[in-house]
Amino acid sequence: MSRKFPVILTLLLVSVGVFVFIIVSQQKTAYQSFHGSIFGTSYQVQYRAHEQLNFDAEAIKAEVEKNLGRIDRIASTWKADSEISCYNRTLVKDEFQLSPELREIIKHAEEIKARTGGAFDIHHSGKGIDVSAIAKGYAVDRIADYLYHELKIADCLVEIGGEVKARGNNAKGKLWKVAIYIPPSHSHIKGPRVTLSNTSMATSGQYFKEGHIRNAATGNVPEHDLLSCTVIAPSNTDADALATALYVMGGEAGLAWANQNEVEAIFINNDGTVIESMEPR
Amino acid sequence: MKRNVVSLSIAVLFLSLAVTGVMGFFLPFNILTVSVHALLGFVFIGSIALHLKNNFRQLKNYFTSKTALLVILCVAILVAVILIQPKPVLAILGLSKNLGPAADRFELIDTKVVYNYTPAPHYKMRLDFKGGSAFDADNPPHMAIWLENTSRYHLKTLYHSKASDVQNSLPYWHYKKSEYEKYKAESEAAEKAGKKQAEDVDALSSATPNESFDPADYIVPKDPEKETPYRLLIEINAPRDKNEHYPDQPSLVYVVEVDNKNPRSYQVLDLVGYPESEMDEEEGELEWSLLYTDETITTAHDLFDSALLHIERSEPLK
Repeated sequence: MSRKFPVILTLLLVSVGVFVFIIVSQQKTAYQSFHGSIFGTSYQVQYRAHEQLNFDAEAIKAEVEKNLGRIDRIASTWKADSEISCYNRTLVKDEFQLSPELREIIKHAEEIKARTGGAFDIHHSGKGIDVSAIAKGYAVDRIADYLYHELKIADCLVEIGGEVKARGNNAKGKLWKVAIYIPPSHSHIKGPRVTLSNTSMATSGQYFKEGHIRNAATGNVPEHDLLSCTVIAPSNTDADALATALYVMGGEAGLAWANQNEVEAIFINNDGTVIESMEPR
Repeated sequence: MKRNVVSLSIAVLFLSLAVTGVMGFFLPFNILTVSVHALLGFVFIGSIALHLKNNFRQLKNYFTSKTALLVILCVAILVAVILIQPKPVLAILGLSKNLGPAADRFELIDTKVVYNYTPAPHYKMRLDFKGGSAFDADNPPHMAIWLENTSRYHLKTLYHSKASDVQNSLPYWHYKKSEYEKYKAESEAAEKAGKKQAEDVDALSSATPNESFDPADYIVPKDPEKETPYRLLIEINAPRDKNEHYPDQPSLVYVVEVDNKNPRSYQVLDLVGYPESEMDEEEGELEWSLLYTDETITTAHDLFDSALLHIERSEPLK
């Protein structure tokens, strides 16, 4: 064995050590991201970790999934043993002890119903209530609150099944940029880009699942030329519900309502025309 | 044989074995990958034998040294650790997408059918089917076995007969599978389009994308306390089994519901009906549904004797 070997080995080990130290120290404050599945769809979280953060990336993911799992067990109409399914089966609703989360979701839903003249309604005749059109937005808000208020993370983006909330800046030091999705059947349309500054956005449309959005008053699938409707609002719970409400109203009535109520909304028609209620930021 | 030929053969074979070995570990089980890996492995053994012959003296010297003992000991320890399978080894094995041929295996022996499916390393399913008095082992009836979620959506076809007219003989399964494939293709196109659109942005805002198409997501409970219910269905039909009411009796569909909360053996006996089509005027497509059977269907009932679904589940690896 060459005499130089121990020297080379030592240098190699020191170099590897320095490299690992640089990577680890960078990771502590670098942007992190993780993703997974919840509510029968996917979710993703991006955030900038700070020096004082006592949680590691795995612990944050575990806590986020714990919170999402709890909301899923409360609000999923797909699960026979979820709180909402049990509530819907209960004959005497007043005697049912609602969890604070479900009470809050229902309260938000009733407020949006009143504001939109019933265009958004979680009550379905004969089927009880269904909060699917608002629960994802609510979950986005709860996860964003957890990251911001509990972990003091200033820069983060939370997305669940296409509902997005962002705070601070992205890894490039700029405001988070979000595109409105365009399905392959309408690939001639360029999806508008929106920069989010401490706000959220939600999109409603039927291109993934035909006939799942219905007018609660008539029970019919809305007949209009809208491909999708996006609402930008500080609360993702509101944005989620309002996007559905405006989609039900249709392009013309929805735009009029959004302008009147100073709600930032983007309507995309099947022919590719994009109509904005207010100038997107 | 010439040394250079042997050495080059070993180098090229080693490269091929390395590539197919890595593919075998990280990709789902594929008989072609395994065939190439296994058969080249035998050629490799032959080349190694020639290599040993060419270098016997040097190797003999190596094996008489202390280093040889150390190397043999290290390899023996490594083999023992892999066989014992402690948690770190299981975690590495968990990275493999290859659950082996046993992940999905079908056997037809006489009038008995055994189907093994392992959607996850900790979740094993075995279906034992026994044909009835009308089941002809020499000319077995057409049969399809598949899984559905509780919303009646096809999740995975476990088995289907390879006959060319299976579309007509097993119409209900074929309809369900076609619908699933249509949704899956649409979803994949949407996902591809989404990825393209998300190239220069941080996220996409959209209507809620479709659910996963991985059957394990629907049948393997993430939370052991949860039911994660699903259904297993069997459609069976003997072609040209005429009776006084039909020139060819329709297929029959049997079902069992699995709640997953308390994995055990399930008897698949519930006859749910026979398929009947109806034209969907809006879509211009045939829609199939199940109708209750009546006395006009006779010997078709005797194709099926019994079926037992057994589920073996352990705690998932953390």
